Amino acid sequence: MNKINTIIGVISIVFGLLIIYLSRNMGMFDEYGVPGERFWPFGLALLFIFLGVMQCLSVVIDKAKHITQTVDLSSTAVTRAYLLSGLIILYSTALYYIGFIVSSLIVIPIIMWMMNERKVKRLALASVGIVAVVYVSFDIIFNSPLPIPAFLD
Amino acid sequence: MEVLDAFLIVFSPETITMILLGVFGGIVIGALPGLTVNMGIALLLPLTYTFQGMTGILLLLGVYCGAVYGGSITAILISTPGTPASAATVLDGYPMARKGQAGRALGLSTLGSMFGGIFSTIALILIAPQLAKVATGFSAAEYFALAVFGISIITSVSSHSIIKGLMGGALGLAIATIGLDPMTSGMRFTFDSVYLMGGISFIPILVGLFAFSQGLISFEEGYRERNQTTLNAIKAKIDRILPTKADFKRVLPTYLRSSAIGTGIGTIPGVGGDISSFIAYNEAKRWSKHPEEFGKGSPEGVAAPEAGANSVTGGCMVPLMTLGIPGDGATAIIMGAFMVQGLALGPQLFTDNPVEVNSIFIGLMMANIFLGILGFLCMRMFVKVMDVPRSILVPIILVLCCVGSYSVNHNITDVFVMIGAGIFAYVLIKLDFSMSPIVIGMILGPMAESNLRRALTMSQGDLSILYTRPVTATFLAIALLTLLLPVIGPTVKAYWKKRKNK
Repeated sequence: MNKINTIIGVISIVFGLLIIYLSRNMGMFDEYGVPGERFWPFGLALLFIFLGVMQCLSVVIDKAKHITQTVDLSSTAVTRAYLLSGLIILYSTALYYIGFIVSSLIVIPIIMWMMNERKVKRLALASVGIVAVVYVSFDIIFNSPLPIPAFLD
Repeated sequence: MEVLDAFLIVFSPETITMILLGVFGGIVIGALPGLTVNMGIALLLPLTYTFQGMTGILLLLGVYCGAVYGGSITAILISTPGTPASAATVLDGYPMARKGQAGRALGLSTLGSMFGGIFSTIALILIAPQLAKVATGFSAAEYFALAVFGISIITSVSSHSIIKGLMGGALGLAIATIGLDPMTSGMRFTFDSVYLMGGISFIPILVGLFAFSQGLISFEEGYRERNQTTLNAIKAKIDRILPTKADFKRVLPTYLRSSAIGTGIGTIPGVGGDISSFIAYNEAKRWSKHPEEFGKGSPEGVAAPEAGANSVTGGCMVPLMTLGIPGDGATAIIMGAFMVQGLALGPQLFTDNPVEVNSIFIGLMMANIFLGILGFLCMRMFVKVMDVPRSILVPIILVLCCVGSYSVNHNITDVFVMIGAGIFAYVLIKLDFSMSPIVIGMILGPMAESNLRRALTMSQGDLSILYTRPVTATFLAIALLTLLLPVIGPTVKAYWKKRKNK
C-alpha cells in the first residue's frame, strides 16, 4: 500500500501542475482586482499539490501503519471485473448501432455466463424478462425513449 | 393555501404512486446485501428527468427512506447488514431470529423505522422554517462560507484517509470547473469540445460513481463467493410481524430516545445513519433495565438502532433544505434531483417555493407511513428478495446504469462518461477512496466559486469581507475546525493521555 499511496501523491501533484498549465491563458484578476476565470482552478491546483505532498509525507511518517495493507488490483476476480467493463463499453457501442433490445438480449446472458450461470432456461428467461421490464418501464410508462438501431433513426 | 396546494401535488395519483413505488424499490435495494442506499438513489436519479415538478424528488425520498429500513431485513435474517446503518441491528436482531423470533424482530424494526422516520419528519417541519428565517438575510459572502462549511464535511464522509477524502473533494471541485465560467461565461477546460461546453453531465457521473462501480464490486464478490458456502439464512417461519401491545409498551421509550438521537445527529452534516444507530444502541443499553440481554436478542437492541438510523432521514433534510448543505452522500445525490428541477436549495427555497417545501414535508411523511404499511404487509416478499442470485442482479444494475445515463439527454456520450466514471470509481474504492466527497465537491463547487467571486466583486477585491462579517467568519471557522480536527484531534488526545500518565 505504501508504494501505491506514494503514486497517488505523485499523481495529485502532477494533476495540480497540469491544471496550472492548462489554465495558463485564463485571467487571474481583472483591473478592479476581482477574481477571474483562473482564480478558482488555480486555487484547486495548489490544493492538489498540497494534498499530494501531504500524501507522500504521510507514507513516510506512517510507514509501519500501511505496510500490512494490500490492494487488490490484479487478482483473477478483479481482472474479470475489468473484462466486464470492457464488455459494457462494447454494449454501449452496440446500443448506438443495434439499439437497446438486441444488444441487451446479447449482453445479459454473457454477463450471467461470466458469473457462472449455466442453466439455459434461466439465462433465456432472465434476459427476456429484464429487457421486457426495462423497455416497458422506460419507453412506455416513463415515456423516455431507449436507443434504437442507428439505421432506423 | 400553500399547504393545500402541496396536498394536491402529493396526493395526485402519479406522485403518490411514485412515492409508494420508491419506498418499495428502496426496501428491495436495502434488503439486497451489497446494494447501497446511494446506489439505489443514483440508479433512479435519471428517472427524475421524466417527471414534472416534485414527483421525481419525492420518488427519491421514498427510495431513501425505504433503503435505510430495508437493510434491517438481511441484518436480522442472515446477519448481514444490507446497509451500513443496519450494522447495529445485527447485534440483537440475528440472535432473536436464531431464537425463533424472526417475525418479532422484523416487526420491531419495521415499527421502529416508521416511528423514527415520522418523528424526524415532524422535527423537520418544526425546525426547518425557523432555521430558514434566520438564513434569509445571507449575502454572497455567507453563501460562500456555507459552501465551504458543506465541503468541510468531506472529512467525516471519507472512508479511512482524510487526505484521500480531501483529494476526492478537490476532484469533484475540479470536475465542476469544466464548462462555461459561471461569471464571465468564458470557456474552461473544454478542449474545443461541444459536449464539454455545458460542463460534464452531472447525473452520468453520479450513476457511474455509485451504481456502476457497485455493479462491478458485486460481480467481483460473486466471483469470489463461487466456491464458498451459502450464508447462514434463517429459514424459520415468520409468523406474527405486528408487534404485540406489551412489546410496543416496552420499546416505546427506546423509540422516542433513539428517534431524538437520530434526528439530532442527522442535522449535523456528514455524520450519518451508521453512527446514529450505534449511538442509539449504546444509549438503549445504558438506559435499559436489562442490559445483560443486549447482544443475546434484546427487543430494545433491535428497536434502538432502527429508530436511530431512520430518524436520520428527516434530520439530514434540515441542513439540505435550509442551508443547501447535504447531510450525507444520499442527500448529496438527492440535491442533484433538486438541481434538475431548477430548485435552489437554501433559505430562499422557503420564500420562493413554499408549495414545494410543503410537498417535501408531506411527501416525506407519506413515505414513512408507506414504509410501515409495506413492511408489515409485504415482509414475506421482501424476505424472498434475498434469494435473488447475483448473476441476475448484476446484469440488471449494469443495464439500468447504461439506460439511465442515456435517458438523461438521449445522448450515447453520457453512457461512455458513466462507464468511465464507474471504472475510475471502482479503482478508487479499491485504493481506499470514498465517493461521497467527489459528489459533494461537484455540487458545492459552483456555489462556493460563484459566491466567492460575487463577494469579492462586492468588496472590490477586499478579502476582509470573509472575516469581518460574523456569520461568514463563524461558518469559516467551523469549517476550518472540521477540516483540522481529524488531523489535530488524535495528536492532542495522545498528548493529554501522555500527560495524564506522567
